[in-house]
Amino acid sequence: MKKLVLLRRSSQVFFLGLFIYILWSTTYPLKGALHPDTFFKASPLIILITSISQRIVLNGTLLCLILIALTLILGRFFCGWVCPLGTTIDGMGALRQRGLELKDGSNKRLSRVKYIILTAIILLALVGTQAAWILDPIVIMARFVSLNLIPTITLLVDKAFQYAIRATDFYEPLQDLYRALKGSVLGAKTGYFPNSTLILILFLFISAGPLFLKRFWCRGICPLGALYSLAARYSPLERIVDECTKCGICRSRCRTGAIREDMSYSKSECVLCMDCVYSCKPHVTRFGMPIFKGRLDRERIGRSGISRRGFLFLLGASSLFLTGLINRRGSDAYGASGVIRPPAALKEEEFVDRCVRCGNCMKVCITNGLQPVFMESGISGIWTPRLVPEIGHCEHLCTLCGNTCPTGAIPRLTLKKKKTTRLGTAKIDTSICIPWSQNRECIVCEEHCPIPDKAIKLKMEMVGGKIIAKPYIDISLCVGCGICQNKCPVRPERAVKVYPFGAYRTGS
Amino acid sequence: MGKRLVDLTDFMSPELTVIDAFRVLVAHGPSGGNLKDVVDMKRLIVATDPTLADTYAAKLAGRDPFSVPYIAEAARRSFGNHNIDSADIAQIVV
Repeated sequence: MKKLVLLRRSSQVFFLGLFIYILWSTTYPLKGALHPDTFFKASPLIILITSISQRIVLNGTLLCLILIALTLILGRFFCGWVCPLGTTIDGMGALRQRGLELKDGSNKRLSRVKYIILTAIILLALVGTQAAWILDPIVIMARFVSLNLIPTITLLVDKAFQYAIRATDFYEPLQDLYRALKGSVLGAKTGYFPNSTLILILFLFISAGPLFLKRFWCRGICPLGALYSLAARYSPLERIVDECTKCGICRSRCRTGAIREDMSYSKSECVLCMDCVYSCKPHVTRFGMPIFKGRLDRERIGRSGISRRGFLFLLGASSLFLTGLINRRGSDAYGASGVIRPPAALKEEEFVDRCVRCGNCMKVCITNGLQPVFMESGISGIWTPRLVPEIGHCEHLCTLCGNTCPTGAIPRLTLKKKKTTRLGTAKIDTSICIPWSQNRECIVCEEHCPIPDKAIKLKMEMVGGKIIAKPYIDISLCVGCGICQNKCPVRPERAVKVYPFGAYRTGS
Repeated sequence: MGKRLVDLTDFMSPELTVIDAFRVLVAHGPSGGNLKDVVDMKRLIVATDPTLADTYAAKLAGRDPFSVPYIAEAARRSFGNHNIDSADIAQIVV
């Protein structure tokens, strides 16, 4: 009898597992079964909003339209059966058997908030600002998994092995096991993202909500949920109760508060979890498509979603919200930003707009050099990627980041093109550079420079009987990869640093 | 720097030194460089005396061995034989 619920749970676990698997395999050499883009291309909020705000048609639009079409027929199946954040939220909500039961009025007010948020996002997109990244569930979950969860897991496994190898007598077999794991499942590198605390905090905040009210995020905030709610409003698939005894058990079990006090239900809130079907004591609840039997009883459905007056109120509220954000954006849109962006990234304003902060590029960056920005790019640039050469340089022969960007904020590059793509220019601070300031030997930067004709040249100077090689940058050759900055031994500030000056940015 | 390398080699006392001189990067190294900076010398230098191996390699690379700090230091200390002419060198063609 519990077949549908078990099916739903398996589906949720499957998609969550798939989601984590895809992100786990978003690392060199990108040999996962599915492309890292997959889940992002399946989020209509990300794809459609970015398409609108950038006035282009993105890859993945078709898949999103298919998902919306399915929602028009089935209802919010994505929220209940697929969404990885939804699964996490359900998991958290299950920790508390009986959540709060809200009165109809409060439920309605809460569920309206997500429509305000969605309207604001759409309006912002129409005027050219993509704000879907702030509250899209897929992207929020991806950031958490890529930048918090996976690095922590791999770090803990690493530390456990290192401790075990040192502390026990099973040195040889442990070493072999460690190496075998590193070569296959664990992956050679452990990500390290010092700026990711805020991402963790936001995620914990969202996950803590369901401890108080089940599916709090899905009911009240999720703009993707709001989009699906609108699509689900007149779905043919609906909940049918043959002879309701008004016992109220289903209402207390409903995780999104879709069942009202009079036992009618709201299609736009229902996420098809199937709990009401199995908690119904007289077994009179089921899901079916009565439209095919010629009956479409509007009374049974009841009024759901928004009324005309409600919509006008939404428009007004969102416009206020909009004006606030637009002003802030104006002051940030100066064009140049002080950070080094990934190779051939779009021009700053478009980049900050197109980037959905999915974390893919940072996860896949083979040297761990791409890190999330905090405030360095203004508030609208938060969590976009920047290169931090102290942590990792931009590998000369690598094109991974462009290959995993779902919206094309970092374009796909051929290796040939990437080798001549300029990220910035290096500059030597001769007041702290060892040969220049101390007349001692050091040419580590020159040795590491990957440019075929060396973008760092040496000036031979005779000092006190010795010939000292002093490095200087050839700015016509330097691509700003940052390996010189990474390897420079001078502390606390490196003697050679890359600045975004002269960077090649796509699109003008 | 030259002193430290000689100290280390003295401490390690290698029994056999092998230098790969098959494809040699003669400019813009150690990382970087053009394909045209690579010379196909197709040789392998094998020696029981590390100083001799390095001296031979330096000569092969077209440099005066004594311009290389650690070879000069080894010569100064009489660590190994730095004199190629008095060495027993066999050329084996494979």
